[in-house]
Amino acid sequence: MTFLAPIFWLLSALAVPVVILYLVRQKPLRQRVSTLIFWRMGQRAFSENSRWRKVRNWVSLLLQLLFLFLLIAALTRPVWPGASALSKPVVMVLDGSASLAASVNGGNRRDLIVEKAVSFVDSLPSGSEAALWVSGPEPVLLSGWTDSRTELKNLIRGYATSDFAVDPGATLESARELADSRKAGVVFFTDSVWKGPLEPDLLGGVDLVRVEGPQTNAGIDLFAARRSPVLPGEVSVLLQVVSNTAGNVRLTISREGELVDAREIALEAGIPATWERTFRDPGAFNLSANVEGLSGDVLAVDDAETLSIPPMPALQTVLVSAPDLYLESALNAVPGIQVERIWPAGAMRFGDPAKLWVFRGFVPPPDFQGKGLVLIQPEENGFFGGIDGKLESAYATELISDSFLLANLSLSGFRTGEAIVYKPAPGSENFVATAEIPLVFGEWPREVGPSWLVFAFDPSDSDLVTKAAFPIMVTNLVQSLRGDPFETFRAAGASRELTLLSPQAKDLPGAKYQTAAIALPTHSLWWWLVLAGCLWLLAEWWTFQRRITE
Amino acid sequence: MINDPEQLFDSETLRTFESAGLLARRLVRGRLRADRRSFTRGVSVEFAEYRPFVNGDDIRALDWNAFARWRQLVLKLFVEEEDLHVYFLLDCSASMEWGSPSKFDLARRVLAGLAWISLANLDRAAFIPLGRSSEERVPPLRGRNLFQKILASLAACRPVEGPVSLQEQTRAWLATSPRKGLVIFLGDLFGKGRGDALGAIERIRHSGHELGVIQILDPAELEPPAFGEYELQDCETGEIRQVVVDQSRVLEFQLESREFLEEIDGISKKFGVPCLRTGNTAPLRSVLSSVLAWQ
Repeated sequence: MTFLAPIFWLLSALAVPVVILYLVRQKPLRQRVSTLIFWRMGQRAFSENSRWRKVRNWVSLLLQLLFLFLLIAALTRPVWPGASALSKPVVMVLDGSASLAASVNGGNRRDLIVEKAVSFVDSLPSGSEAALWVSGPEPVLLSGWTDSRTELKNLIRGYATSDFAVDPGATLESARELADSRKAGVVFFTDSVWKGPLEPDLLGGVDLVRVEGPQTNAGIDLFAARRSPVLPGEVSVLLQVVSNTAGNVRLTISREGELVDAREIALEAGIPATWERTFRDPGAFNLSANVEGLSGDVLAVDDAETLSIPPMPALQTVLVSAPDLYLESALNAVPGIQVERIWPAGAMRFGDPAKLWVFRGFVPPPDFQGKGLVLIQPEENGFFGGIDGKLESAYATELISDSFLLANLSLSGFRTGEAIVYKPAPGSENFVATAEIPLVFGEWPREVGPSWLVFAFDPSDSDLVTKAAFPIMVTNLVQSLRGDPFETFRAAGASRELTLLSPQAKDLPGAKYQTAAIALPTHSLWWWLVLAGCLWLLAEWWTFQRRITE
Repeated sequence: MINDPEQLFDSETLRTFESAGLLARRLVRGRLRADRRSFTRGVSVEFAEYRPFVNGDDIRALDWNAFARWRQLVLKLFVEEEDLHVYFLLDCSASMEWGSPSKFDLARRVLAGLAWISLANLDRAAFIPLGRSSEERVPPLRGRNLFQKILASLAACRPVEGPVSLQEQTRAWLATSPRKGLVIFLGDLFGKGRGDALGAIERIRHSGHELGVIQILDPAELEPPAFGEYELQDCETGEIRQVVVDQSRVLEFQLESREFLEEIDGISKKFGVPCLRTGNTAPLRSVLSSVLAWQ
């Protein structure tokens, strides 16, 4: 048997004054009184067995010494043979997932983690080193190797959990690498609710200290919105509520604080209930959702979410052309766009990288800046390619692209006016063609530099302008320059994946659950002995105070 | 303890109470006519009652006016005024020496004052020191000129070393068949045991005497000592008792002392025995005034 804190054996010196206190006889104060008739009760109280009175002090002394020994033994923390694994360094990993906010007995799971981790630090042998990680969205090293228990405990008490489900895999990997450098053990304090199952290898040889198991929870699993790529200003909102037990919840949706919808939702265990709504607003607005009413719901962090939807980005368009009624009308019809027209185009040299440029007949220089360049029947060769002839008229027969530019429309069958035959530059794509002769081609979108598009015909000279597809195509063209048309806006709490609060390490092989080596001392026999010893000392002191010196 | 008679009772106090009367509440018998009314019908000016004339009656006592009115011979009886025997029983146990000034000193001064008042009102005053020998007793005296004798006895009186049984001492005095009168018992009533003083009071009461009790206590006697271990020694018996004074002991002490005092008060109320409880530092004039207020 070894002792983790042998320094406490110094307390054995306390036995000396204890013995002296019992050996030294205190002489009571003699006092004359006029009568003893009022002290009759006192006389009865001390008429006790004289034999017991003789040995009482010695028994008392022996018991005091015994409990002093137990107290010292408990403080020195003996470790039985085979249970000395704690003498090696240890890497502690604290779970930082949002599920730790689940309430438990007036506190939450994080409090339990902190309590257990602090107790674990207290149980570390004197002088042993430990490091501390927290598994957040990114692994966080709270403390490198240190033998300062105070520092460790302060860090443990102050550590913060994330608002999201956390995959502790990366943190465990880092912790194990750190542990391998010193042949240390790894102890993972967790509630076993993670973002997806862990690789079994990650938990191999890791001591798990687990807190509260499954509990009831209902919450918002998904709250997201997306602006329509086709209809400017239209926003589709999707919300999912899920519970790990069947029950009814009340869902309320507010927009800028004003109630939009409120309804009772009957949930089945593990099956999400969805709520969808379309809004038309090109500006920014906030939606908030709240779920309440499920009995026993222990996790509040996923009961309320706020979704911020940014405004639709404005796009400034410059039409470099002689007056063109059709083009101007088509561009102006698109919401959220500002159109200006410049003519003549001779002075155009540099452009503006934030703007959409539409050139009619004019060919901008190769380094012209713009978010998008649309060239209608350029009359010279340029970066886009070269002129290879002319067509009297043509029917669009081929739509050879599944580009977003041509989404939701059909350009087949329209008839162009006089068209120019171009030989597209390498890398460009034919969007519309007739007999393999490109009618609309270009690089749209383009990773580097402005996207560009060439119309081999004049739309206003074709019957395209009379077709419904034309404004859709113009809208697609404009919308495609407003950023990712499929960008989804999620609430901060989206993808928390906490709603089930189900432990995922239950049957993982390799993980040890609260092994003897890390048994926490909270309910250890030694600590009960400490408690009993302290109580005995108090009782004995009380008796000592009342004793009659004989 | 004061040994000088002049200090025991100064002349100014004597003059103050000279005119005051000490009256018993009941009629008592006496040898000489005095200011007290007696059961005996006598020759005073105070009318008592009529009684039919029988043979042998003194015809001088016939009320002729009544005969003229009722045509019947009746005797007119008057209240006989007799002197009162006042017995002062002083507890001379060692516990009376307690306090500063001692309870014994105050008791002797009160006794002297009351004796002076008695003598000034033509009553007889006797002094019986309980615990002392019978030779030290002063028999019933009449006349102010004998007050000095009482004072001298009081000044010479000392508390007894050793236990004194008040009940036994009272029994011994009552065995001398003193004439019925007023008994003033002065002491702390601690006695040899808890019921000793009460037994003495009972004996006096049953013997037909009028009784008044003056209990003199040192307030410190009713206060327990500070917490700690003590060997308490009874100043009378010398008995030593080991006591650990803690909160529970203090409560027990207070309960015992309260019960003791309540016991005395109970007897006082139950049998109409006037009882005055006073501290050893109380002014003499105040104590005497309180005693006179009994009537």
